[in-house]
Amino acid sequence: MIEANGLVKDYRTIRALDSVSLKVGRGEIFGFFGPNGAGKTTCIRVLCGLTQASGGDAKVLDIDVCKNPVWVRDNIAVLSEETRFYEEMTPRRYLNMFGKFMLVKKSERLARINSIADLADLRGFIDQKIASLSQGQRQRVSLARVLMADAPLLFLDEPFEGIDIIHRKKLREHFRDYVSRGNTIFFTSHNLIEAEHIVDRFAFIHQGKLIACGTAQELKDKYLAPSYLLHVSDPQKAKEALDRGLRLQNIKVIEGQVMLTLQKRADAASISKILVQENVDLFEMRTTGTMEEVFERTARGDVC
Amino acid sequence: MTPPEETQLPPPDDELPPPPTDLAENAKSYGEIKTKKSGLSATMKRAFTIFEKDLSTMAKHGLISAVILFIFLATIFNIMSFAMSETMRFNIGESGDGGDGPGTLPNSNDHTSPIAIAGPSRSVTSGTMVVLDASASTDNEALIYYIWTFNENSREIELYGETVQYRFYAIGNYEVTLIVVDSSWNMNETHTSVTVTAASSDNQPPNANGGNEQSINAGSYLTLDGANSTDNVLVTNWTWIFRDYQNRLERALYGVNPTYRCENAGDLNFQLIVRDSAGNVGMGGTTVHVMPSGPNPTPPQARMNIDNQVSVGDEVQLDASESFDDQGAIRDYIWFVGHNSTVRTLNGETTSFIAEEQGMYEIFLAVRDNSGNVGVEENEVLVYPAGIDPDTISWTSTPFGTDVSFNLLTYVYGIALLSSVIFVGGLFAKGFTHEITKGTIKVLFFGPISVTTMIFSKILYPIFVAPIFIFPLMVISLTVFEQSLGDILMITLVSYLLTVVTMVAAAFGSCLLYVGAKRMVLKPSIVSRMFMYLSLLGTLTVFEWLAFVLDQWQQTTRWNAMYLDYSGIAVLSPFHQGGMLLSNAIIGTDWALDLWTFVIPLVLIVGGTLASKRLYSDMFSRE
Repeated sequence: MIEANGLVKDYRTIRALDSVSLKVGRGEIFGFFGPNGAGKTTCIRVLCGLTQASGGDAKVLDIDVCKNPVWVRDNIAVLSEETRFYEEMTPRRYLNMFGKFMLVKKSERLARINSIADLADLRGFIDQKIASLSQGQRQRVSLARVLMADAPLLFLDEPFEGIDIIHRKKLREHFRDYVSRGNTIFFTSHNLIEAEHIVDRFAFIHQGKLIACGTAQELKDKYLAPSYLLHVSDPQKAKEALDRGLRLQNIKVIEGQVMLTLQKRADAASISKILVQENVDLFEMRTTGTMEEVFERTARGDVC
Repeated sequence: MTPPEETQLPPPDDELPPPPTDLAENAKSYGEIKTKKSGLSATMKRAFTIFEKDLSTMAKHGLISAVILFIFLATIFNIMSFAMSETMRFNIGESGDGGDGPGTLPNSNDHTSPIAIAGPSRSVTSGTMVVLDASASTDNEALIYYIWTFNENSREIELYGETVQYRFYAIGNYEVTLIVVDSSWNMNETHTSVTVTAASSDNQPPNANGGNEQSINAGSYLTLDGANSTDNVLVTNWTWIFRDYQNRLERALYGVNPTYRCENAGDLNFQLIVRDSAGNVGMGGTTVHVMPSGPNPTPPQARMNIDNQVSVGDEVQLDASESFDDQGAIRDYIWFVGHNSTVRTLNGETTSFIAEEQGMYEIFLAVRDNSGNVGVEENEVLVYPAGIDPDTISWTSTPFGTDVSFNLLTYVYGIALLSSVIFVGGLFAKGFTHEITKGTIKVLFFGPISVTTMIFSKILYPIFVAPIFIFPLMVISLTVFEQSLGDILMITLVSYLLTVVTMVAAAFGSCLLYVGAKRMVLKPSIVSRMFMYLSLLGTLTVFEWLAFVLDQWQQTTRWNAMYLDYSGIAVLSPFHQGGMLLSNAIIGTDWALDLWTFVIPLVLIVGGTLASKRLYSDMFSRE
């Protein structure tokens, strides 16, 4: 769906993108993360054909985005953080206008607006002027515009901004259903914790450079120490047994659960064996460490 | 390896869904993605959607001011037009209905108006010959025209001369207007009245009966029948008035059963005026349908080529060779040359007459095909006194010339352009400025909107908004010129099309300017400003090209001459002037003018397109 090779974007003396190469496949939610000013938005702009790269090349949906930016935009939908509105319009009219841009027939357009209004939680203000809406409501209107598009590729910049918990759940389900049909989402957010449960693959950008890319597991394996949280029948006994039987960096009991960090990831398979030998029941074993920690480490250049 | 200093617990399971499965498991074989590529139709649909959005914004914020502006412009244009029509009326020497402006003949220093004296009012009995005498009129120079006008039975009578005679039969009160003109074409007018009373005690008007409608073929003789007209005493006079040659040329027949050879196809509406011995008048009428006598249904087109301004004694050439018929079957060329009270008839594709007196000669050309279909054209020749060379008279001395219809076109084009600039340009600029300052234009570009779509949507302003204002304004402005509604609409349509070309060029230039601005230099670049101005001036080149192509096609030079003569703004055309300079500089003549007018804009257009392509892609380069 997306293939970028050595993308460079310079703004006079500033290099916003520095040899960024990435591939995004069909049917995945691709997360693109980085701090403010790292180059996320610039990268999206280049991939959407809204600005031209200073170097490198990129294909989106097999279309050369440098040569045919409008053709690319014909087939994608973009949710940008800088979306502006025609303040006099109501969300309904705004969405109708974009439906026309997408050349959707009137009956279908109206049906789509109705269904998207539910999904993006617009019902309470769909016929009010946009000028009177809050920032969160505006964000939902923008999101609705994107969701209306019958496009195989979505670029979503902070799609959950201003969305309440109930609708977030619905949206996540919608996104999962959307990609399960072979579509793709290029996703950015500041909330890595939430993103971890949505995104299939992560890419981290820092100071214009792509510093890491992979699934959550791959990145955690690569960048985080092997830490686990164990829910067992006897935490104290388990702690003592594991301390004796494994090479550990540390182990402690927190809130009735055992938390440990191995010196070598390969030792993880021995945990259950030791607990069986000690007659301790293992109810659940989870890896710990978040993608935020991964990002911090990649940004610092740390590798396990 | 540094262990994490603080461990963060993941959120509870019931709040978030489980992490997605590994991507490899999702690697399915999906159907092929078919990408859409917008063509011209999609671009136009989207442009119309933007235009629709813009219009509603404009309607909301600018409608009241637009209506006020419309009323203001309509008033101004109407006053201007009235003043202009009066000026033209004077310039063609027919003050007619009250034109008493202090105009003079070009190059004349005499601005003193003559004093017209028409003699006392009088009362006469029906059938009396009345002498109208203007010999008491005075002037510091010589008086050259005496024109007497009045209405008799709804028909305007014009008599020429210092002393004229007219026998008044119809009972009534006649308001007679005398216009005197001196040799410097200063004029003055006055009025007198003639009251006609019955010659006997009979005051009952006769009953006029013009007979039944008739249909005959062109070329046949028509016999009219007024025998069924009646009177309580005796009907003594039958006058049949009608207009032949496509309703342009007035004719009169007399008698109870006059005959007339109907040469021209078309309807003839006869007005029958019958009079009894006491002078009482009755009116009636009939219609005669003259059918084409052959299979050719389309009338020929009359075109005359004459010199509109000559000196006394000059031979005026009349040329109808540019007249044409779709079947090439023009049979007759008939010229009617009217001057004062005389009308002479000439024949032939080309002919001539000697302009023996100064003043206005009215030229009427009729061309007729084998089937009797007829096409007509009218024009005028202004004959200056000896000693004045028409070729040296500047256009400013007779600001609107004598070719009324063409100069109306020029005038209306100016009005259309002005009103377009005010209305459309104002609305356009308002919308565009709003979008730029508020940044809302970016909203559109996140959709499948190209710069081309954006520009096209703005160009729709002059095409669709302009006529809403321009057509009513033009009609209001032109009514004072006493043109037919059809002519007014045609003139307006042509002006509108010319205006649209200009406005589209302006819109295009503005869009380029905008694109230049969005290139994110702090100010629009000099290059993008140049594009805008050149595209405006480039409009002139369109006219110039058109004139050139028409001349090539018709093997004439008239279109180019017309462009140069009447398009005063041609002097602003860098292509024209530049072409002249370059041609003169390089080869010493301006014969290569047309080449330059093609080459220079072509280079600019190609260069502009290439340059703007670079600009487009970088529109959003800066946050």
